[in-house]
Amino acid sequence: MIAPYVIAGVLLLLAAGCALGILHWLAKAFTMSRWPTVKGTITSSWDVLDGERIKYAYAVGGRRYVGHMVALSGGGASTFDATPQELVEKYPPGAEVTVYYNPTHCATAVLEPRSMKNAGISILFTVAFASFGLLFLAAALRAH
Amino acid sequence: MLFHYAILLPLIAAVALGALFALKTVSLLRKIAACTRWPTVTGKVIGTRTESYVDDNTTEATDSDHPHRGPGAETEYTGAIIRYAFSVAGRGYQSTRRYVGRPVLSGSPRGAAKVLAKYPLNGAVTVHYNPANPAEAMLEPANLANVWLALAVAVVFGGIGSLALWLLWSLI
Repeated sequence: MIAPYVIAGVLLLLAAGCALGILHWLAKAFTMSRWPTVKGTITSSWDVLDGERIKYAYAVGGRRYVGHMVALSGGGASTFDATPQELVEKYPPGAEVTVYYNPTHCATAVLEPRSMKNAGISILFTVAFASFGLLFLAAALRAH
Repeated sequence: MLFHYAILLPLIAAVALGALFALKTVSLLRKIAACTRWPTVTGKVIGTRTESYVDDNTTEATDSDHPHRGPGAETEYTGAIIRYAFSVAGRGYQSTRRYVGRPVLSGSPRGAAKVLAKYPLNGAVTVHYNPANPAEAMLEPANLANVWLALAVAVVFGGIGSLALWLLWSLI
């Protein structure tokens, strides 16, 4: 019977696909965590609570920049994303922050380069597909 | 054999989900215990509104395979948002957090109306704030809304999953 092997194969392939996505994420996170840092200030107002984007000001080489990126985003909203309330608690107006900026393009910056929170959904799917795939494979081998 | 595994897998996933939510319940209770000890300050309600979203069942409602479902099948979830301002050590803060965890929306707008009545605009409120980070504050630190939700998921998924797993195990 070949069907169990096909099911296990498909599940393991899906797990591998998700794992590749996480590896790509980790590579980007690793690169960003090695960017130079500078002190910055949160310039967004309490209206972040109403959906305003987080804004922080920082200066590199005498030039001033405004950044918006807090952490790498997976694109699209998920339950793993921070809510406006959670963001404003972590980054209240006027707070001093450490800004990681891209040395080759200083306007690109991030506050949490190592945050894996937004990769949560990929990790969840990798674990689910891999464990189900392995269980199916074990069942197929046992039946064989 | 494969059939057994096909049933086993979702049951294991259900038990795992139940265990995760049981851990979440404990973590919420620990956080609540800490928050109830936070210092308090008097704040002021500066904005109130309701937030709602409709659980879109349109596809199912118009699906000819489900003629029993009408447009009434869609559910509207509503929650009250209370925005308040307070000061700690001369610095102003604002928050919309009422309790530990994310807002729990209700299928009935009556719950939201009750909350809005409890916190009238410009009314004074007692704000519990984290002394290490006053931006983290809440109005009802002892509110167990998220604990009940997490506990319900833990019991439903963990309990039913374990029971079904045990039954299946004794049948194999």
